[in-house]
Amino acid sequence: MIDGFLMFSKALWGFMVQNPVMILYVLGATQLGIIVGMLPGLTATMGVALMTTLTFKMEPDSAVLILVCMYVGAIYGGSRSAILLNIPGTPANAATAVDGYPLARQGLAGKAIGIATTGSFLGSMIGLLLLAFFTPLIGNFALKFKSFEFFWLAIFGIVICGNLTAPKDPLKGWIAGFLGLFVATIGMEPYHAYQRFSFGYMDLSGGIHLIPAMVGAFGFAEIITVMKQPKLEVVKGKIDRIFPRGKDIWKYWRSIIRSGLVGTFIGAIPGVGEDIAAWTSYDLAKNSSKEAEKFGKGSIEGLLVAETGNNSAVAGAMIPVLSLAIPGSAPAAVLLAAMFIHGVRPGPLIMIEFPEFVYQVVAMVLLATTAMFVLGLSMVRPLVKVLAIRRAKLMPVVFVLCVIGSYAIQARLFDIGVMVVFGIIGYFMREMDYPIAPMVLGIILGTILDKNLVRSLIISEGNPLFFFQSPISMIIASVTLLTFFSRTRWFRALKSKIRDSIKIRILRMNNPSR
Amino acid sequence: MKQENMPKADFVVSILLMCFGVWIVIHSLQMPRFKEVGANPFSVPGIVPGILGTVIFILSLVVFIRSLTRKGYWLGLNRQTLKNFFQEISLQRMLLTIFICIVYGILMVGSLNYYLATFIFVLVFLILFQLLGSEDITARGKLLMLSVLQAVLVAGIVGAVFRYLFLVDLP
Repeated sequence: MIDGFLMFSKALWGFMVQNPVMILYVLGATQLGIIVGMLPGLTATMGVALMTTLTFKMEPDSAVLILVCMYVGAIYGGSRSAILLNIPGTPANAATAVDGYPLARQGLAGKAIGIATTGSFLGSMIGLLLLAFFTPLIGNFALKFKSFEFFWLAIFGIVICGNLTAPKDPLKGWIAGFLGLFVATIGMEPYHAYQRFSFGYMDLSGGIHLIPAMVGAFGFAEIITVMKQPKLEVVKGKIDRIFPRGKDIWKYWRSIIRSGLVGTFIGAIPGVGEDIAAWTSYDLAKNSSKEAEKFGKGSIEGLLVAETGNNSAVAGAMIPVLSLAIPGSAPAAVLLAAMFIHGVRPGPLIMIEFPEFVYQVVAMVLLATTAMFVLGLSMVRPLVKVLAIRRAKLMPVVFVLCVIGSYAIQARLFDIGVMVVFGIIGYFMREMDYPIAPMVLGIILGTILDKNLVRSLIISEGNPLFFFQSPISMIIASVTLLTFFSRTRWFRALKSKIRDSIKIRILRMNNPSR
Repeated sequence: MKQENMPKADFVVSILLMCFGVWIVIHSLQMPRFKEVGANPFSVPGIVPGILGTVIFILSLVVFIRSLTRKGYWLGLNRQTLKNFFQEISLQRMLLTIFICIVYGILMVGSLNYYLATFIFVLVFLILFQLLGSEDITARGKLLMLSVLQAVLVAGIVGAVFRYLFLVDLP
């Protein structure tokens, strides 16, 4: 541990003192990351991917530093558009919009951004500590996950997301999630290379790419919703206070620590990523909060835990990248590829071959987090002015970004079509009270579900008992099924019956004469 | 959508979703089984979409049954309600937004020069949604000038950033 601390101090010293240009890289890349994240249509994945091409000729440590700053900045930056426009800049910020946007509509946009920035900062710091000290432990735990656990994790993501985004009618949330899982099956399947649901179209055989679908479902659908209103409402963002009050944050210290731990843990699970981290943190906070009724209506706690969860997952997602060479999320996958491009070979042997690099990455995350906190709080006032811009002026710009953002990642015109189609579907889903977030999550989790369900069925030869065999899968399955059935009428009736019978027994025990 | 109309919407949408679920299951069943190459029956391409289609069908069936209990089948469609529906300004604005965005995203981008297509789209969007609502002629002139300026800036800046900073070959 002392060796680790020394390597970390050396790396930090190297970045800050020996090469001061690095500080400029940190500030520039983090600021660019925040802008990329906050602009609807540009995601962390796209930002890191585009930045990889720009840093191709740089020294490995400078290049990786810039990419880490872009990643951290973009995941945080997505909270800006989620709060100000109700359009999550990245899928990771969908949970942020649930309480961030209502706060902005109440004229508390500045406060909401301050809270989100603090939550992101604290989340990153918790993730950072876990990244530095518990990498081997969490890496080993994630290694225990097999196909059954991954299958249940995908289903858990859909059920919990459906539950949260459609509190009135979770059934619609689950339908949206399963539609997303279906969308992910379009294209070439992994076992026999058979093209499913492509009908002979070359573009469809490659599948539906997440980014254009997400940009359409969140971005274009929002444009239609906004432009539909005859009187375009301008939300006035009164900025009474940007820096959050210490007591506002301290009040929720338990939720912050829990979300940081949960976010990092989920981020460390290969392929799962920041979005599930945010939703899980949000759900746990909602279930244990004394102010559960405020969630979804502008809860400070809800906003705080969503941002703590997603930003702690950034550091968490780097744990399997470094220790196993398996990405914890989509942007982490790009980061992993960039590391290979620059000659660093992450994987199980990294602690033997490049032990300093692990602590260099920790130092990079610390610098990026600090820059994000400083830039995040100092840039609030100009950015809240976005609310004062008339929507008719803003929306064509957003659509132009949606179009070019969808196109840029693969340079395919087909992706613009995907964005438009998903935008229209997303709009009608909103109108019918079907939440969009589970559908997008379904597209993300679809590949994980597809591979692991087939693998599980092959291993178990179709025996469903195998799906509950290991303790980890049994726990995830129980939580999933409990979440699912807890929303049914008969389950609630059963619960109240049990509660009543327990009450009667207690009363009888206390007063035996009755 | 008004909450009192939701059972009607649920009724229609659940039927569509049930049909969609059945369609997925039928397509999944029609997919090859690769028996001739000795493929494991649980690895066939149709298994996962087949399961997903079944789940979508079952969940939609629950929505359908619930909409029936809420009398969602009583759509109350007649000529007058349809006429009122199509005369709603919000519907017209929604259709107009979708139309001009499709024209730009699907038809113009890729066929016209990117900068020109973007300039035309932004200008038309601003004119349709801002200028036509304004009755003051002096204000209209100012708005038009500002709209042209915004369209030039958006097309120029977005195009240049993606072309020269992110090195994207513009469509």
